[in-house]
Amino acid sequence: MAPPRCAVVWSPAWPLTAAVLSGRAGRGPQFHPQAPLAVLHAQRVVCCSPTAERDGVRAGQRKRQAQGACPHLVLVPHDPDRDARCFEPVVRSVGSLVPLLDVESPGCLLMATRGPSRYAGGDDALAQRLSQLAVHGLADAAVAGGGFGVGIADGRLAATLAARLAVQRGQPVVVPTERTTEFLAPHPVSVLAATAGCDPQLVDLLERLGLACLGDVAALSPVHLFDRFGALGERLHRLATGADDTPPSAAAPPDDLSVEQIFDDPVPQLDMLVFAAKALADRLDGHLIDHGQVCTRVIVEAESDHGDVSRRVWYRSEGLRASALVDRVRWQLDGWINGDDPPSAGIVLLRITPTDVRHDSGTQMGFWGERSQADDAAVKTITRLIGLLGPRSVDVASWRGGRDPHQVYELVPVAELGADGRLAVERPTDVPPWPGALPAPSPTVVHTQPIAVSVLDQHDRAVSVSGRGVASAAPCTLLLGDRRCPVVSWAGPWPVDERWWDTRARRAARFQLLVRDADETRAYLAEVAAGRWWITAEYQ
Amino acid sequence: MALESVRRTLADLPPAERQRAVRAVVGEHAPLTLARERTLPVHPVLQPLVPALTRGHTVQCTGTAAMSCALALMVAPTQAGSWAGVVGMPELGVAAATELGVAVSRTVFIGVLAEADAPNALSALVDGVDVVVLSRATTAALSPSLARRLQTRVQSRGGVLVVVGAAGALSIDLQLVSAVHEWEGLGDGHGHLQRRRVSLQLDGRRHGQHHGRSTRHDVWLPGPTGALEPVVHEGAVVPLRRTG
Repeated sequence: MAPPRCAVVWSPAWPLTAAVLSGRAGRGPQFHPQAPLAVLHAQRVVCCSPTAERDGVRAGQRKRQAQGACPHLVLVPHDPDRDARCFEPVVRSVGSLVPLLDVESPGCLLMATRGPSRYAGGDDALAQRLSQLAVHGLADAAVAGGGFGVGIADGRLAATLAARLAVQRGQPVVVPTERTTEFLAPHPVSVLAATAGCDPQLVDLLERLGLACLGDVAALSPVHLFDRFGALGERLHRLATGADDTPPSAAAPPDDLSVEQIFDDPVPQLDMLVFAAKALADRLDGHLIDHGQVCTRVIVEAESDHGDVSRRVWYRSEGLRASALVDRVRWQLDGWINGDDPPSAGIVLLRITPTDVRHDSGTQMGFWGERSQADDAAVKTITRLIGLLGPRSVDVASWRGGRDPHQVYELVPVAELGADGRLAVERPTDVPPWPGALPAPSPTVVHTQPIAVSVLDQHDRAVSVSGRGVASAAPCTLLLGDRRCPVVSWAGPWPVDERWWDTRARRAARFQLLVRDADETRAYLAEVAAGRWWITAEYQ
Repeated sequence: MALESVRRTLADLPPAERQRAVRAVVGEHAPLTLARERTLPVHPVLQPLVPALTRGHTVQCTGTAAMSCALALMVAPTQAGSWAGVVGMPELGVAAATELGVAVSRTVFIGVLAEADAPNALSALVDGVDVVVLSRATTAALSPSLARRLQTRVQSRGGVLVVVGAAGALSIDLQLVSAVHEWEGLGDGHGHLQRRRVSLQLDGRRHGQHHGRSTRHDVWLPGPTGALEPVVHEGAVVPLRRTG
């Protein structure tokens, strides 16, 4: 069965474009499109602007490597919600020509070209029109990250790769049907991980087996691949030869899987809608899990009291589990409700309809060290707490690294890390210790607001630290409010001179002080900066 | 009616038989729970003092090392797969917690709760999390009725409440009083804080259950790597004698 002909509209640096756009619209910090910008997620560069790329910043680099390559790099926080919200006008603009669109992710649109191509007068004309429409959808065309790449080819994978090529060439790429396999062959197998959702470990294995590009995989007999990798091998062969990704024997969706929620009172708030969507997604996903299936394509519909309708098709090759479904609903509704053309009344109907369902080869539950009943209960609790207290109320610890106790771990809202994966980011084992960090043990209490104190020497003069990092005298007394606490022992000063190239520069010296306070021994971490003493942490 | 007939039947039996019959009936109908399932694990270094945390109990940590004690109690449960929730402690040193061995990937942090949110949020938390650590400010804001409801819920759900500092309206089952003996490693302008010897004293209305055990125990909290370590009594140091 020949794969359907698809068109892909893709923006390589969409998170950056979205950040610049939302800054211009006054919904976040302003970024200059010509400045070296990089979007960071979990300490790694997701994408960067051309200016930054010229300086040697690459996607996938660690934050420190990127800052080393380009010291004046401006870091843009990763925010999928912002990306989705800003993408909505583009979807609407392209949707005026092609009504049936799959939104793969913010920044990437996929559509079948059979009808639209005939309407526009051929694939080339359609590609040109799509490229114009996508740029037209942006409020401001002169933004960072380059334009949109438009690729038309047979099947999802080929069309996505054509769109990537189009970005490099700066013009749409159309691959004729008979040349699909030829077009795919020279691409390295790593594109399978990047665009088709294959496991990076599998790609690594293929490379080590000597299969460098898709042509090598396609040259193998499908029987051998099936023999070695099972169903996965069959899929690999299909992808490499340009046959469609969705298996021909795709499972028919079980009857009436659509789930919906009707609100008697129109709901205008996004939070409440997302909460309702969570329940819907759980119900749908639970039903699919019972059948051993996962949906890869869903239609999300919302209708307001006045009959305004928002309807989007979402696709994800890895499959949409409950949390991914909720993300899609939130992106769509956020773009609609907070966008340029919001509904004129509250929402009365929310519906999720899966259209493509496949058997879930899924994840094998581990015996230990993996998800357990306690984990499931905890995730439920977190979801409930977020519903009760708001999306930014439940935090998890995320390792950042730094010289001072308050920098080493940061508390970040759970939603930012995604509730489906690991919650906290622990200290990676391969990271060497931070130069200038305090030795273990760390203080158990790190004050959110440092406490102003005075530290006096034996003549009751304030102790100061010279520019060369030498204390003027030994600390003798700690003035804590109106209490005089004698210093038993001390160590320091340990100077720290951070970000001296920046306005956020910090020059300070740190001391450990052991004091007697009303018959108790207490250990403090004190800091002196610009002649003033602060207690930043306590070893309680 | 059935109860009445049971009572009459029992009354006819001789006392020794009666006891056995009652035991048989109760044993048949009470759900079987292993002792291990009714407790949460405790760090091996603390076991001489507290062999295990009984589910449903409320533990209070007070004294100079209260925060470290609370973190030390979180170590074994979180490593064994339980989750912990920390309420109202934005100042908690996460780095110290990881050094002690707390699995932060199974710990959630909730900020200071507004008074209106506290009842629902706390009951939701104890429903899904085994160890709930409450700050002094959180317990102080609990009304006696809410405190009672919360503790009933903890008992039925089988979690453990850990209170740092004053317990407010909560009734305490077990109390860990910590006193700092000495800090080692810090000199007069040199060295750095290395380890702290803490003396822990067990108290509270349930400590009668630990008859025959010492209620006082010294530990290094934290040890040189930040983890909990036992105090090992080293022998007297004999200086080397020069020979030959």
